[in-house]
Amino acid sequence: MVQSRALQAQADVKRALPVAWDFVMDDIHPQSKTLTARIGFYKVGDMQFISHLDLQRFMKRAFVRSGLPIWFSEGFNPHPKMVFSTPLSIGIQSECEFADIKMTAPVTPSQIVDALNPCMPDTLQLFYAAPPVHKMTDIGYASYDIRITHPKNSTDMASALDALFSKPLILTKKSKAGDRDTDITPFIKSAKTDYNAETGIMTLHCMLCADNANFLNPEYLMRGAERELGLTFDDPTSAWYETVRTDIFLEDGVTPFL
Amino acid sequence: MNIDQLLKSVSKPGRYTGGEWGQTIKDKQDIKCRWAFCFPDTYEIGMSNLGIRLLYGALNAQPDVWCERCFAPWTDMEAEMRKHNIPLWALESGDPIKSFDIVAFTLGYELSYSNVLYMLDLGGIPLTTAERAENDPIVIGGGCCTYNPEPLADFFDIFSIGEGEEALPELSRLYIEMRENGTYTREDFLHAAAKLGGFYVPSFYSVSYNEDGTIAAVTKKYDDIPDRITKRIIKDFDKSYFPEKTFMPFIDTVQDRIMLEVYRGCPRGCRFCQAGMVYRPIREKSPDVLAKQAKCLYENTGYEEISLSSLSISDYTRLPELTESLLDWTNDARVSLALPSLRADTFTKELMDRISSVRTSTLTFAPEAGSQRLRDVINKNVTEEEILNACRVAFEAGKNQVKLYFMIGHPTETNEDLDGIFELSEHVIHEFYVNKRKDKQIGKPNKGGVQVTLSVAAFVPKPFTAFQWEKQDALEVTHEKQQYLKNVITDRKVRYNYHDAQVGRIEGVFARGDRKLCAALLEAHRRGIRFDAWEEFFSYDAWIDIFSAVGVDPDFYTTRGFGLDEILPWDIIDCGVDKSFLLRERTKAYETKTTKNCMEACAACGANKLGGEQTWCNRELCKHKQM
Repeated sequence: MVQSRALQAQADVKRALPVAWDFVMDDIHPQSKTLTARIGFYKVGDMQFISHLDLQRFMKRAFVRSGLPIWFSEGFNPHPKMVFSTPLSIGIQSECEFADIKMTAPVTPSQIVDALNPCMPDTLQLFYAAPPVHKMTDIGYASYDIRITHPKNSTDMASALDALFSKPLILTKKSKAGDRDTDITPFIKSAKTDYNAETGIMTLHCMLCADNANFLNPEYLMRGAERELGLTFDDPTSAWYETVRTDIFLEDGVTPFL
Repeated sequence: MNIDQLLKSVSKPGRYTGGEWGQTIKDKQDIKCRWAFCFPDTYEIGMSNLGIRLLYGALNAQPDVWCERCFAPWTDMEAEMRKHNIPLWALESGDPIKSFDIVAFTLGYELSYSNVLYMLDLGGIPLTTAERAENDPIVIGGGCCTYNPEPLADFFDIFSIGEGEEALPELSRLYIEMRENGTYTREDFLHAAAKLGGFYVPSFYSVSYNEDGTIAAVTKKYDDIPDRITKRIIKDFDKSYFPEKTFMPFIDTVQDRIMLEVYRGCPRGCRFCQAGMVYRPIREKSPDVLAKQAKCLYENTGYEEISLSSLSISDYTRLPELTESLLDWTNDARVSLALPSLRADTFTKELMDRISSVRTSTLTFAPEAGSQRLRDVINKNVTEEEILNACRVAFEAGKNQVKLYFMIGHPTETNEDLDGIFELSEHVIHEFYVNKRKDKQIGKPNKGGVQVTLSVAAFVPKPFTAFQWEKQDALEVTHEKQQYLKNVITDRKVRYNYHDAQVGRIEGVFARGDRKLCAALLEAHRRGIRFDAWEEFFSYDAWIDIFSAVGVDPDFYTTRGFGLDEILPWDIIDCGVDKSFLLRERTKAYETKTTKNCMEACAACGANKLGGEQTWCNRELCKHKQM
């Protein structure tokens, strides 16, 4: 049996999802005549520099190319309706993004994945498609790995980072209501840093609030580290970090979002 | 070096990553000739350029050639690149452009010249041909500005004159052949290229000047290279290279839609228009070929809009046939048709109905001049009646905004002609209210007020037009005319936009410039000039300083006007249209006589000597007229 491109994609990401690939989704709503499919995809490498708006436009055209029975809105400017799970800032990669799209005819998850993946670059690929299990508003947390390359990296620095996030840390937080000095630690569920002496890389594993009201951008942790510990990143020849969203969880912080 | 870390600190990092859907990636092992196709402006502008898409595809259609893209980095990225010594790279491979065989620039606008030097410098490529060593890349330029390439002569090894879809692959073949059989030297390659046809090697021609600064003579270095470089054209547009797949930008660009080129050239003979002359002879594509290509592009891109692009789309002889076959499927696929270049005299209700699905409520027409007399001088061949008819069609279809393009500074212009601009807009407004009263009588819903937007540019004389010898209005004169118009326009329903006259003057200098301007460009580069096409960077005073520092008089190229018997800097190029024809047109302009368009009668411009299928040219008639 030829291994599905989707399964290959799935093998590339950490999160293994139990999916019945040939299950026909035919739960068409009697009034709207559409069914909702939830797709899971990763957005890594160069795709981290593509904004949310640009991603939407790109995916809209990928849907058209895929030939899938996508539902379009009526009116002068017809467009497919897409609902994305959690905002992802420019400069942050993700191994675990979700979006809901509407279809006008029954499809199987493997049809969706196999039709869409060839229409997208290697850095943006689906690993999952299924009917939604949870509501988008059920999302509580997102986990991230921040991989840091820096001359100051050491076991001591790793401990210092962990200590930094265990006591109040006041930073200027931007929000729609304006900038405000906020203690960010209540929004950090966990933060633990490993130092790999062989590679010299420190990895900060953290789980941060991702619900609408309390969303914390992982960038704030790095800004705290810069101010308090002198981890600066103005010389890209010796110091850099990459941030990857690794998973999305419900409000209990344990159950993976599906 | 971690480029990603750098990209996190610059604006719009998606400009620099590459990796777009539809880009061409090849294995370097198989490649014998690498092209870096550079666009001397930002990613968003360059990615909107149809020419780059065509040539990128045509070059990459050869298995042993790899063409990549490169755009001018914005100044925040420039600062980072200079700070960390990162040379300008091409998007597909990430390799520095210095390591490429051929570095090509698209030259579409005079104010992008400073960016050519900016990009060469960022790429670590010596700026002038004289400084380039044996193994530096060959630097080649193409595009509509190469019809007068002289202001850039010191910086380019080769200019490709005319259409490149066939010429550039041929140049690649020559390069590979000479590299493989061991005959390649920089000099011999350039010499062989100069004999291919359509390639101008400026360093093989030396120019001497008279005391008054005009050109005395042009001397060739080799006897076997042409005296004048005749432009290349695609003979059969139906069979010309067409990319079925194209790269799709992730980030928002200026033109993000399918651009379907319906025909090349223009049958009109507007006397100010360079494009209308240099793209002759007109060559049409068949509707069935276009329909097939449009469908194919749609399936490969998923774009929601198809723009039928040509110099004057409503002049396409088989437009009904084409729109018919497109509308067969575009409505179902939710794809809208855009016709961006409408002429008032051929804009009909039938055409309006076809594009009624367009999303904009504005229609644009270009009367170009306010009075019938001046429209006859410039040979626009549009009457006020036709303009009002076109507006009526638009108003009847429910539109309530009209945009009108004008130019000021045409030869023979007086204040009466300027008054005409406002009078014409008043007549358009009147037309709207007549129509509104009719609507009221039959009970159609009220659509509110009307807005007429006047966009008034200052005329810049361009090479290969009937006005190529004309005096350009002095800066003060343009300012006066702009102010005069501002005072004349008293209706709040008329919105008046005009361009910065200073930009037009610098554009004018380079448009008809000669090789003496190379020194000015070099000095401008030393002073950090770049992104002249951007308002926030353009500095008129800086340019005037530069001209005086290198001893160039900007009036020489603008307000002086060129003598009819003078050797013109662009005489070295043969764009097909004869100088004698342009002179005849100039004489007729001063006699306020119009010339019929190519569809009605051949004016014997000379471009038919280049050949071409599905043209308007009646060869027998032309021969007769020329005798």
